[in-house]
Amino acid sequence: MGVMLDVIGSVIIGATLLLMIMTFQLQLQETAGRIYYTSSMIDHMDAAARNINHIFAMAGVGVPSDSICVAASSASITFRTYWDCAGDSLSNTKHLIELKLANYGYESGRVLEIRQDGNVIMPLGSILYIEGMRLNYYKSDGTATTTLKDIMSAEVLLTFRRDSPWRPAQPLRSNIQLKCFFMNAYLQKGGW
Amino acid sequence: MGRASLMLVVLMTTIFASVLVRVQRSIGGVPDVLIRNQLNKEIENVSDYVLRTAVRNANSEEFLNSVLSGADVVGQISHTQTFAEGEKRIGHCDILSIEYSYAHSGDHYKVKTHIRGFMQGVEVFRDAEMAFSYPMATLGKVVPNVVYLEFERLLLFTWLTDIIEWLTGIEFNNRMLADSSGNNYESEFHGFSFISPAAPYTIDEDALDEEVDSWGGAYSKRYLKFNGYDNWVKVNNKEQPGSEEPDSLDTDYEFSLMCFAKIDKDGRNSSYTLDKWSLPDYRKQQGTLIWIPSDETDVSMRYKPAAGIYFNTTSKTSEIGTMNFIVTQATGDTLMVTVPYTRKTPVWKRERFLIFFHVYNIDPNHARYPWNSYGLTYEAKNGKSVLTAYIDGQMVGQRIKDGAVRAHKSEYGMILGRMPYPHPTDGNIGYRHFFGIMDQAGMDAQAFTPTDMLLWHQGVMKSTLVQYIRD
Repeated sequence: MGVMLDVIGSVIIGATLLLMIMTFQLQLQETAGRIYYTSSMIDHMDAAARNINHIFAMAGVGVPSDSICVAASSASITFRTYWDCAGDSLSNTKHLIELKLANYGYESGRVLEIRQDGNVIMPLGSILYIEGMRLNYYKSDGTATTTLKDIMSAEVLLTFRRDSPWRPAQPLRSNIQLKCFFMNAYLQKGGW
Repeated sequence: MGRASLMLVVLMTTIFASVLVRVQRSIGGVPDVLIRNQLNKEIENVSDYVLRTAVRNANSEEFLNSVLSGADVVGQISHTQTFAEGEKRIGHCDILSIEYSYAHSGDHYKVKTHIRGFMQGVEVFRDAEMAFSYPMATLGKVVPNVVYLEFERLLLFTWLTDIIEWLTGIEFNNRMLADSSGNNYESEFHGFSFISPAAPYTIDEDALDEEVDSWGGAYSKRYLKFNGYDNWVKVNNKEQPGSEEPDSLDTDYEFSLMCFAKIDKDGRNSSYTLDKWSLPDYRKQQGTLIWIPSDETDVSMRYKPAAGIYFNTTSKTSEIGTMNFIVTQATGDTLMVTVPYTRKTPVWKRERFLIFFHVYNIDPNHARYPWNSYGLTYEAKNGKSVLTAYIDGQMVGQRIKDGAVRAHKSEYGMILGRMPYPHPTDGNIGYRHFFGIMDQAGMDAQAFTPTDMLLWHQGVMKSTLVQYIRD
């Protein structure tokens, strides 16, 4: 009887210890996953912002500053430039660059596409995990405008959404707001 | 019991191990992300600093002198500084190279930097470049490599310097044109021009098509006027016939000729000039662009050029005529492409002077019309001789003949704006001149492909100055 009680006691103690260790390990795994998930998302947003900023900066290279924009709405923008955004070099051909959201029904959400002359710039022209985008435009003096020839900068409001690995029903939404300037248009215009 | 305990231990160990591996993967990836972020920020700052320093260098007289050893910037010059790993290190970043490019002047330049960042096994790269008043056409530019006349030199009062030269014996070389191919072929302007045959571009702000005025007032500052009765340019040949030199001005097994021009749509009617006073109606004998004589000593070869491009008037009251592209082979046979062509540009304006007289002046309205390019390529290989004609960078015709026969040798250089002409009634008029304006005339030792010819055409048309930054 005494032996049986010893065995049962040791099993209970052992199981409790094992449960504690397992719980600790699982919590550690979840925390690590969250850190990785968050940091990779921050990295993704950072890269997306840098890429969008770069594309806007190269707008209007070799083009008069009042004829850069071809179309601009709150959901998309199209502009001209002699910069080849696909090859990342100056070219002798005028290109049309378009930024807009595309919905392909992906589980990960919509895609922010950057197209040059109708073709998606690869690999940087397809930005995933986007839920929404809104664009506001400004003149060189910083006042808001919707007149194409006056646009010199844009405010880009992006909402990223990514499903949590632990609670898919509660996705994490992150908003970023960045002001992108037609840097080369300012350079060509001069007098600023 | 013992077995059950052992199984439990093995099971639990497996679960723990898998959990630990996943934890390690997740935790292990975080530092890479953070390091890459930190490195990106650092390399961005280093790149900005290096680019600023490179721009300062590029624009400094000391740097230019050290690169060029005191010589002037002619054509396009590129100078690259390359550094070994660790040679130029700032923080965690190495400067790999700095590239300086100049186009025709120390004021037209661009710099390009390449930086590498490395920290704890993570590596990132960053390129940046900045250009100031840099001609877009030099990027991927196709230019003739034998001779290239861009007519940028202002030849002021050539008649006056001729007189001073005659009186004093001092040579001013005021009729010489610069060859920007780098081969320094001597080219001389012939004929009369009161002020200067090289005229500056004017920008037409009201031009409907941006292609029309994109060239004017940008990189190319001047073009050359041809008055239709005594203006022409001679490019002297400095190589021996049959020379194997790659820059030889010789029409051999393959070559290309090209120029931009605006051919006056009406031709030169009778008029009065300061040098010749009364001139007859020249409208039937206009339009010679490029003419490379084959053998000037042989009468039978006088009207057979080694190669040539010219417009032929069919009626002196019509703008419609033919554009002709011709090559004479060493055997004396000719290959020719003739296409219908309509002149559209009013280049010269005939104006009444002192009631009874007519004089010609450049019509400023020509700036409303685009420049046209004319090109010819000849290639004799693989058992065939092929002559291809281009207008505005597009192929307009081709003649193919069996047998790879070289073109007739050309000992007498290249002539722009004049060709021999057997006038049916007037024996004194022995030449057909060009009445219009010309720019960017040249010759290449290779036969341009259709893509090359289009790139050359587009390169010239888009030769606007651009300044940009990519960082």
